[in-house]
Amino acid sequence: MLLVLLVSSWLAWDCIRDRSLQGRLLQAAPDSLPNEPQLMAYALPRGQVGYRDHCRQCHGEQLQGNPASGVPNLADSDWLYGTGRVVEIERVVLYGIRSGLPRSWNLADMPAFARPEPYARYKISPLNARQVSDVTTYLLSLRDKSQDPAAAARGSAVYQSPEQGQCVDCHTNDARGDNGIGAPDLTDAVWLYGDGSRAAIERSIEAGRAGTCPGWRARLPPAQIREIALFVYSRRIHQ
Amino acid sequence: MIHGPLFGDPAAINPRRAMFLYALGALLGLGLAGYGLFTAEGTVVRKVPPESVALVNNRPILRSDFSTQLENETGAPFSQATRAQQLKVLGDMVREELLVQRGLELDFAETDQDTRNALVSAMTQLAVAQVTLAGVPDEATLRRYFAEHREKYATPGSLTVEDWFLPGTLHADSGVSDAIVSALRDQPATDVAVRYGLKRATGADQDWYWVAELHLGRALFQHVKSLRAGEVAGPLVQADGVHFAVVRENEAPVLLSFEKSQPQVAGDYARSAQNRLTQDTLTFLRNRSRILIADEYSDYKP
Repeated sequence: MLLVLLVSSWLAWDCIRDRSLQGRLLQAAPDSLPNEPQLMAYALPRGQVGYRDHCRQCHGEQLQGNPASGVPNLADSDWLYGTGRVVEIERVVLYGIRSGLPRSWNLADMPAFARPEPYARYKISPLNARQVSDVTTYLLSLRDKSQDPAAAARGSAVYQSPEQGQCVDCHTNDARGDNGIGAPDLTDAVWLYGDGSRAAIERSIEAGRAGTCPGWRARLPPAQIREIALFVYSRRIHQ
Repeated sequence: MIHGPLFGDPAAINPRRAMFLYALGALLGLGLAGYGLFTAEGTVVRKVPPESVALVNNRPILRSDFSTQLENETGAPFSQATRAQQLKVLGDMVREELLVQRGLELDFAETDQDTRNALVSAMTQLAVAQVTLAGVPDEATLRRYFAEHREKYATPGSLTVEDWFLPGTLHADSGVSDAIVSALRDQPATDVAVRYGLKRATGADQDWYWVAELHLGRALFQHVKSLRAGEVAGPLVQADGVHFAVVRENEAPVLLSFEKSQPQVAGDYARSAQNRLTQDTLTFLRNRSRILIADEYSDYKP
């Protein structure tokens, strides 16, 4: 009888403690949580389980992503949407990217410039084969000064043009991208799709890109979503 | 009144212990029932759940949404927001929720076109959400889809063509067309144009196959697309005259491997699944609905 009482008491205490920690976890401002060792110790193992069950299929066991299918690496310091804060990661887990949920990240796609109608959202003119090649040369020249300067200059003109490529609208003047809309930095060595080769860049310009990530708002409890966000945050490289 | 020790010999009959355990069981059952009753979804609660910052008629406003809206409005991290800013945003969100709830009560979907558009869009997007949540299909499924739509996954191909034409008509047996074709093969096109009075139809800029087809017209494009650089297509009679096309460069579309096409294949597969799901939903809705069409539109078919 005493044993039953002890086990029951322990279970009850564990349940109360669990509820208390979960309550604190949810009530805290997300970005303050990494400074709460007790809550992090509580959340991370659970977040790892949540990640394994819901995110690993695409992002991989080590959060390394997959450039062949445009799945971003979550373990590096290069963040496509936002700057990698807990609140931003949590938002992606909650609502996703182009997930069909009204609050998902869905502000822009990469147009398919080799198609008759490159962009579904509004009218953009296609680029011809020479222009795609020139824009690619321009992008390669940002990291490799041995590229043909004349082609790079032509490519830069198309890149900056408000009538033709309109690349500048999303990727910005200096091609460093815009993490407010998920436009990647084109000047660094991190490539979301492919390996940064001429062929891979041309393919992105010709065929367009619009990756998706599901939103778990309706499927997972809020605590688990926050735990997953904290787990991902804990595994990324901080700069 | 039952007297005696509460816990004595476990093997002996003890009415006092039996009553105590009955009472304990009853209390436990009542506790569990009460907990279930007052915490079930849809139950009116008086306490805001930890993941929410407010409840408006039992509809939660998530802390996460609150943080995001606050950051969007102030342009600064949540931690830097003042109390006044936090309360203002909270007030805005509560106001929005109240108005949305009232809008639902007034059934704006019946009369307001913007609301109807938003609902139709949300329903369409629901298919996107369901397909996205289902996760990425396995590689075998994607490969099957890729094989079924093989021709879609190719480079666009590019052509550089000079399209020259002789206005009017030309007798087939005059020998002039052969002379023009021969000259265009070996000599600068501008010289040949001067000699025979040819006019230029389109530029020589490099362009995709589909653009070349638009510029040249289907018939001339069909002639041109199998030619190599330096070869000449023609003569081909069209409305404005007899055309001769000089191919300067021809890079035919190349089928891409599955590995190189994977993101497109996954996207296309998802879109086709979304379309199927939307169609299935519409079929289901039609089947369970009673739709009456006026006699004059009796030829209506869904």
